[in-house]
Amino acid sequence: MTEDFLRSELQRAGAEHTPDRTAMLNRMAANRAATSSPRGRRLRLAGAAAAVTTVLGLGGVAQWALAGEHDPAPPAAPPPAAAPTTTSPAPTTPSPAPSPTTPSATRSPAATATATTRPPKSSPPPTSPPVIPSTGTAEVRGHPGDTQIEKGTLWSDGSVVADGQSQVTLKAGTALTTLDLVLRLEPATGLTTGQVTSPDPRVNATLTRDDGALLYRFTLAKGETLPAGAYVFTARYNGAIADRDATRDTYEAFADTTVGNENKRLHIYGNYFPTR
Amino acid sequence: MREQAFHAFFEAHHVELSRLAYLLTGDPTAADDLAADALTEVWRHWERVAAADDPAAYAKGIVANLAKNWIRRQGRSRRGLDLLGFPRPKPAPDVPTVLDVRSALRRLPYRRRACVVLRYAFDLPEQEVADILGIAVGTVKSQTSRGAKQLAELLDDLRLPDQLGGWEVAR
Repeated sequence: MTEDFLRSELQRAGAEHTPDRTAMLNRMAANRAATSSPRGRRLRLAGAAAAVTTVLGLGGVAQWALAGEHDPAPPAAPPPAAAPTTTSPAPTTPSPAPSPTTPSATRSPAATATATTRPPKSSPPPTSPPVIPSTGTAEVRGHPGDTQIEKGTLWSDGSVVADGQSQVTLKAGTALTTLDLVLRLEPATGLTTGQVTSPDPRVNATLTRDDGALLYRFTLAKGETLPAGAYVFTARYNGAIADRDATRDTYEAFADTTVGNENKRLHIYGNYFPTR
Repeated sequence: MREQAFHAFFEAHHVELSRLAYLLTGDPTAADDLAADALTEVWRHWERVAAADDPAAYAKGIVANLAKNWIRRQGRSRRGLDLLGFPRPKPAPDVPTVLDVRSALRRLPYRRRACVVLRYAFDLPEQEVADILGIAVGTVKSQTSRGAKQLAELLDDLRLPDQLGGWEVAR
């Protein structure tokens, strides 16, 4: 009976709050503009400004926030579209551009961190969308202070074992039914790609270069199960490896496992610094 | 397609996500912000979220996490103000200043609060609460029962005292 009382009280308290849908959409749009892939950030700022103008003028918030903007070249911003091709500070960018996004940027420290620690990229490749849909890796997790190296039955550690060789160890306490692990080396300036080999025949390995980063991706083949155990995934690279700064290298993995009869979605991310 | 699917997800869940954040933080503006931030995360990882068993649970987990961080930040900035010598009203101890469910909830330690809210306001099974918060089912059980007890007591304080002059409320 106490339970019923609490249930009704809490449900009533929750129902008191009617979210401001438009405010939420606006904030999401600002979030996207502020933190999405560093590539073409200026373009996005300009795009966001243009879109806000549109929104103020037309009120097409929902359509805008939920459609177009993920595209690397937002249709909303034809004039500043030329901006990223020049490496100059783009005086043509409308000055109100930063204002709509600044408040949100200051409110989300993580976002600001990712945004400001990156040097401005000059020009995006003309064929922007990478072959592999890398939406999950476009934004960078796993920087020092923002890690989650363990989740449920999955534990991880990253280390640079030698010049030109970074490793991620996964220890799975239970069998994994999916696995998608990306080792991200950034910047990859001066690096030449070494080979990428999989530690297990069930796991496919691919290597892509994405806007100044090297992505070593290990994916468990569909329908396969990776038994519990420890696996070491290695990224090899050559070129400018002496004294390379691995500060911004990260890894991130998504996996599924079964505990009891429940499917668990696991998400971990980290870097190559020594633990502790 | 991705945007359409996400759009549908947004429409279906933005209200409950914001309400969850509201009950956890007690702050309506922060609630919308946190829910929007969580939805941004969902959008960013859409392929994976959509492939998950229960995308809504995943989103709730993000909200719970963001709310926890938000509350921590609030605590820090308040302590900062204290250090700088800014006065702020302090509730006198021993006097129940509970005005409503929301302020009663705020008295609960975060994990208890989260368990109580998810179990009762959202009627979720223990297992799902455990998944959302990333804690064991046993912990959900114990935290929920402690939280429910504490909340019921706080709400009793709220309910009865007026008629009795605020004293000697039998329990």
